[in-house]
Amino acid sequence: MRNESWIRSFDDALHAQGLAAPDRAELVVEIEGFLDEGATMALDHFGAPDVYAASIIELHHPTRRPSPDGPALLAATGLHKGFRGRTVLDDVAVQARAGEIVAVIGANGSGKSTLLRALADIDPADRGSIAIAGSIGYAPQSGGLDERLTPVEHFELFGGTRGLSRAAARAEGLRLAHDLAWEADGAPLAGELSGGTRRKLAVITALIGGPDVVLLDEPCQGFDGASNRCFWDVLSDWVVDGRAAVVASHLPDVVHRATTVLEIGEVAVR
Amino acid sequence: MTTTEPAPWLRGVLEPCLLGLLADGEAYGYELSTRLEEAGIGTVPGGSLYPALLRLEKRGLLTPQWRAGDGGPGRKYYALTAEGRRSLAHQRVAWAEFASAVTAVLTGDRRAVTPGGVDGEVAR
Repeated sequence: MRNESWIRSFDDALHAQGLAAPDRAELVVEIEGFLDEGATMALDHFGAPDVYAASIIELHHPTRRPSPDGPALLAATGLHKGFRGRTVLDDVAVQARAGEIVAVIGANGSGKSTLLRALADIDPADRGSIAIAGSIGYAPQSGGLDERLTPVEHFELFGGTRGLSRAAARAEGLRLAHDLAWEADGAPLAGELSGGTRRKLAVITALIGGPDVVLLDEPCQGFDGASNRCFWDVLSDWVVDGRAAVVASHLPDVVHRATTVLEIGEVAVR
Repeated sequence: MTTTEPAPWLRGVLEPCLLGLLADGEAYGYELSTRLEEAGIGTVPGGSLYPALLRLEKRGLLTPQWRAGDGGPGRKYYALTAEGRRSLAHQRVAWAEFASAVTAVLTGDRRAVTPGGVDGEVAR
């Protein structure tokens, strides 16, 4: 790999992970100077550009590690839910403390979405109790967006329901989008966005305004690698501030980034 | 052209060595890498050097300053802060103790090592 293309890939990776342009320019100029003066190859000295970029990002913005040591913000016990004689949720219990990211994993059809809908009170459980301390944000697996509105209008709409002014909602939505490696200012109507970008918009509508508990159903569907990393950094920062998250996902990395893993569905009775 | 593989322990001593070199005055990245090589410490890949400098900068031990280069886009010079000088003074002592302990172990001179030697040979 030639140095020019290494530098370009490095800069792209830094950009994708949300590093500001002045910081990127300084890093690039410093490395170019080193390579010129030493007449050396970037790959020999710095390794793969995306891997090196990730290590630099970690030094610039160390990931704050969430730890589940706060008070319980969500506590659900004995949840049962059946559809047409089939038991989907059978005595499921979930607890999420401040600072905790609970990953809900399980095979397709194991009831992950059913559980999140029950917790969000969109489609209540048949039996069981749910206690939530504070407000709740929810991003369903699909839908939940208005195809005819722009992303910024979504920010104003969802932020407004949580007491933000239009200007504050817009600023917070754009900041969250930026942190998710997406520049949402001037973006087209929700119906014209790609699948991955629609997921980002859905995640932002759940996070905006700072509800105490956020329920995210397959939030990373269609994300590229950089977006996926950005998402987990955003969510880690989010819960460190004293909130809780419950994330349903079939993607394997969820178990590494969550603080608690809840596997459901093994005991479902047909 | 490939760089020489650095010694396995270089990772642990790179940051103190950088502080030591900067005690003589400010320097930029490439300059530090040549001085490390001239000092016999080894060839340090840029991918180890710059993250080490950034870590020291983030900890407040170094302060960076951009200076115009001769015709080039400029260079980032690093200088020790007061905190960096304190850290260096501390690490000089800590390293001297550690190095003599390692030397004692490697040369088999166990009398210099903490109690609990081999073959019932206990130094007290």
